[in-house]
Amino acid sequence: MGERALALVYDEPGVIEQYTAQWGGADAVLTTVLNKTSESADASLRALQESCSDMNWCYRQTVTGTATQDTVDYLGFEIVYTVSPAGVSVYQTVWHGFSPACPPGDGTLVRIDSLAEHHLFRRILRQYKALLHELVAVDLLSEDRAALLVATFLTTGFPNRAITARKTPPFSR
Amino acid sequence: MSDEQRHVAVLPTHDEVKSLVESGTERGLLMTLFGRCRVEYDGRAASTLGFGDRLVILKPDGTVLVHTDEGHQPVNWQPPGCTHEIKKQDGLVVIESHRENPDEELIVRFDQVTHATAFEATDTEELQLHGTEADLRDQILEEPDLIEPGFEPLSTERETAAGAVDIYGTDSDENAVVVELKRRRVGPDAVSQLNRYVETLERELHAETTVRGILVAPSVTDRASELLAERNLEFVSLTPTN
Repeated sequence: MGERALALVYDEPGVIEQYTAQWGGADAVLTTVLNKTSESADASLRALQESCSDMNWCYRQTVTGTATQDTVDYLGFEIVYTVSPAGVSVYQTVWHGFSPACPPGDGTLVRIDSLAEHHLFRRILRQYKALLHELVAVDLLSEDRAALLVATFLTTGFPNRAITARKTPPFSR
Repeated sequence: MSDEQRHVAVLPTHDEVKSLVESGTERGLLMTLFGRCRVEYDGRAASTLGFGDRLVILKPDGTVLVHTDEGHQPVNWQPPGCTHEIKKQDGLVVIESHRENPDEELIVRFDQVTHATAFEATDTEELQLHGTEADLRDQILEEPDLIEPGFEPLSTERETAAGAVDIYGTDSDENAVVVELKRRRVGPDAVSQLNRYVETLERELHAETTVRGILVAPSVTDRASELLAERNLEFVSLTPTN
């Protein structure tokens, strides 16, 4: 949420180093990184580092043996960068919750390739969740069911872009 | 925009106005009515505005705005989610807008409508704000009273187990204050996020410490506003400038 960003750095297989920046998801940073992403892996990584050079990226933790989408705090971060030798990919987070009862790790990553896409997805998802909120508020839909609808909407509507946390039923294995 | 999507009536009869609004409401059109009207509101307060020339806007999302010839804000309004109906009564055209929770009613009685329109409006663009949340933070650090008199910022990006809070400070009663900044209009997710920081700090700080949560953004949705009230959290309206 907000402009908080999480960078997931893959130095070796199965090991993810996490770094956070309070303003790393700002439009100016996204624009720079997304414009460089099409050039080369090195260029996009350099762009991320340079865009964020005046930001205080903080080491958060190292996780092993976990899928990317299962390491994310969807309520806490708006943007996730994955950094690997193949390049930098940019995702926006979608928290599935409708009240604080929903775990922050229950969400979906949606890959974005441009700032315009980011704004469009954000707008669509905000409107979609607002509609579901209305139904939850009048007890026409349970919060669990609404969360499932968000996950289903993303994974079926954008199958090549969306990765849902595997703890989310029915995506759990 | 085709004729199917656009209806304009100059000096319409009351029957024509009624037909246009009924049809427009059913089809989800954006409608405007200009004419001489009287406005009554009854809900959390009550008000009456005598007859005068006004512009009334009925939006597909249920919003109603009543504008006079002065100022940028409507003299009376109903928020999104309201239902409206139109009828003829005692020689007047009457538009009733009703909101269920809280129970509020806005009644506009036209004795003459000079101009009426109904449009099928399409607008997919989102307002681009140029300020950032960092700009919002700087504004507050420079002028803490924007939050409330007596607010004292102690740190930015204060770490908690739930992540870093944007601004942490104290109020004039020495209560801890968590400020969450958003540069856009926000919905319920932002309230859940603020709630999480407040609950985390309540666990981390001294047991007797009261932790207040304040959401700072240009505006909040109705549902977010309800959730803020339910969770005893607060809202300050502020737009970032740079």
